[in-house]
Amino acid sequence: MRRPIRGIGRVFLAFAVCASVLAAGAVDLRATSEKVLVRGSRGQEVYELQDRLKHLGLYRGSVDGVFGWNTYWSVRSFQRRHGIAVTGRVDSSTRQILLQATRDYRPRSHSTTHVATGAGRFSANDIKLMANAVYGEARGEPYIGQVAVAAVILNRLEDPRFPKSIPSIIFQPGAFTAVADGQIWLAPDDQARRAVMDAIRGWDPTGGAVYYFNPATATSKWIWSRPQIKKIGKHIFTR
Amino acid sequence: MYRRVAAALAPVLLAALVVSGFWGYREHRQKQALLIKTENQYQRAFHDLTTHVDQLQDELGKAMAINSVRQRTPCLTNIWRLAFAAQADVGQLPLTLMPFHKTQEFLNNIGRLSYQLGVRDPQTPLSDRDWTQLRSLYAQAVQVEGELRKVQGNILSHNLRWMDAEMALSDQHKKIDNQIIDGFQALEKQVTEFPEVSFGPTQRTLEARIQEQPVRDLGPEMSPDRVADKVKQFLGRKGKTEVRVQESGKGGVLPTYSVTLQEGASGRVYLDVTKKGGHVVWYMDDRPVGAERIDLAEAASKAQSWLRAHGYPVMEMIQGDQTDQTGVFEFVPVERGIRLYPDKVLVKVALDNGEVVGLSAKDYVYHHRPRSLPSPRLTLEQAKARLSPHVTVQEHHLALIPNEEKREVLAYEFLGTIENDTYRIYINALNGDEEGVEKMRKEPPGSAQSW
Repeated sequence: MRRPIRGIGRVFLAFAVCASVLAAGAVDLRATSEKVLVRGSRGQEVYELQDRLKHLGLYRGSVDGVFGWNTYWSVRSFQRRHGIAVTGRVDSSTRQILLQATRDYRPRSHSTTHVATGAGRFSANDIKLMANAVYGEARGEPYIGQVAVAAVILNRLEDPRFPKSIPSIIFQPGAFTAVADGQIWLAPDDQARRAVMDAIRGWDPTGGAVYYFNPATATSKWIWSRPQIKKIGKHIFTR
Repeated sequence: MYRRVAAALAPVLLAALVVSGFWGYREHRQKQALLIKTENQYQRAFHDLTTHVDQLQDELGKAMAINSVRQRTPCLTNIWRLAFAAQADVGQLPLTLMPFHKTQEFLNNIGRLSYQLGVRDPQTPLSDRDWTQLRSLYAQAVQVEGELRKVQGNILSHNLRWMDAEMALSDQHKKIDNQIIDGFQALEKQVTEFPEVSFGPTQRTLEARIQEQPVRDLGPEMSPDRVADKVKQFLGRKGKTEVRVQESGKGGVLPTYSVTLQEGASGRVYLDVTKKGGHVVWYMDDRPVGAERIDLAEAASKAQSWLRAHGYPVMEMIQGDQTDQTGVFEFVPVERGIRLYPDKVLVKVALDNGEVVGLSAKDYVYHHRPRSLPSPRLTLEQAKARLSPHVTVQEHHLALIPNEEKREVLAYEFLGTIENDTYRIYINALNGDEEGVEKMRKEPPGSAQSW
């Protein structure tokens, strides 16, 4: 009596395994379809691309979901190896060939939390510190005013009269009120972070300012003597 | 009797209480202010240490790819300076009760090698042994940087205080349980595990070379009304939009108009336009961007056609990356196959509908003009021979770049690799000088998605 049941169970089990493999395959295909991946792309598709390239022994970097230079070079060597146009882009034709070349690859699950990465010459922690400073100094200001405060910090970096690193500029005694009164340790919101990113990317709404002040609360006479550039929100930006 | 004395004393007592309470409050406030100040000093020293080690790691990697005395001397001198600065930072941290010898020794080793190679006898070419030492110090620096980053990440995401670490250290009886201290102990342990080393300008280079003043004639001055019309045309807005044009103060380098457009309640558009010629220096639309609908490659081609439609010359995209739901792309004009780096523009595209929501074109406005571009005197092969033998070349282009004297020079641009690092190296196409070596960061410029 017991044997047939076990047999049926086994068949059922095999069927379930097949179905799940098929399902995994379907998910896999959907995850890798559509999107053209280029240098600078991020996300789940890039994780899988890196994993597949690693599977082929073409990628030695970390599987971090960021299409950087290492990924770029390995995509190119993959394309060279398969005799297709060497573009470093993963479009539908490159993807098809990659899928075929890695038929035996089984997708692994990745933690989808993104790794904090830097931008250009700035580390992720520089960005975080700047976001803290911008939030402490200019929350409640219009977005453009927040980009402007971040731009002032960056302009100071280029100015010989100021310290040479982001932390030194932010923590320079007396430089920012938010540092002096501890408001810099408030958790910044998403908008402050985006403002910092825009400033780092090269947007400078201040036209080269290295100081700013709020005319309603400024106590220093000296600050009024600086050549003014413009007013954004409540702050006057000066050189 | 007693009652009378008590009645007389009560107000005095009350007054004393009020005065002492006020005094106590002031003392407390002052103590708080001092605490914040001290804490800020510690925070500064620590974040500076991380930045310095980060730069040190970068410059060491760069030194491995350099092949000329001209580039090597400043690079190694910089390493020497950074190693010294990092040592000074360590000295300012409240970790006097912790042994920190190994980290200091490691920094000292870097300082000694860079002094020897870069300052004492800069003319002697790098021997294989020197190069191997550089590589080993670079590998160590990468690890030290990683450990410091971990501590820094912990401090920032948990709002840890150095004052607590100091107290934990000075309290001998309590079992020490403090993430800052743990992190540093891990760092010190890691440095201890390094094998003994036996002793016997980056993106900066290009970015810091922007001209202060435009090098071309911008054209005749424009009235605010003309600028308003021009802006409407630029943004493709029809007649009704309200455009506010405001002249900037005298403090600016270049006289500009600040232009604002209010679009409904949700978004605003901002632009800076030069007074002369009405050129758009930058433009930003701060509308909220919805869920990602198009990919980065498609956004790049949207940016490209937007540039063409707005009268910019033929441009090539050299860099793209994504932050949240926007893509930012760097474009340079290409003339006779030469990339004109001084004239770069940045275009920001919303990934919900592919609309261009930002432009940064200061470099383009300042530098773009008809040029008589020279022809290279060196062949590609001759230029390649000037590269460090450790570099594997992957790609090459011709490019016009600003050199250290802010003059424009024609150069061969090589993208090459050493192990897992990518470098951008410029060889002057007229005289073969090594004009610049940049180590590309592991990740492309991008966002800190989560902290």
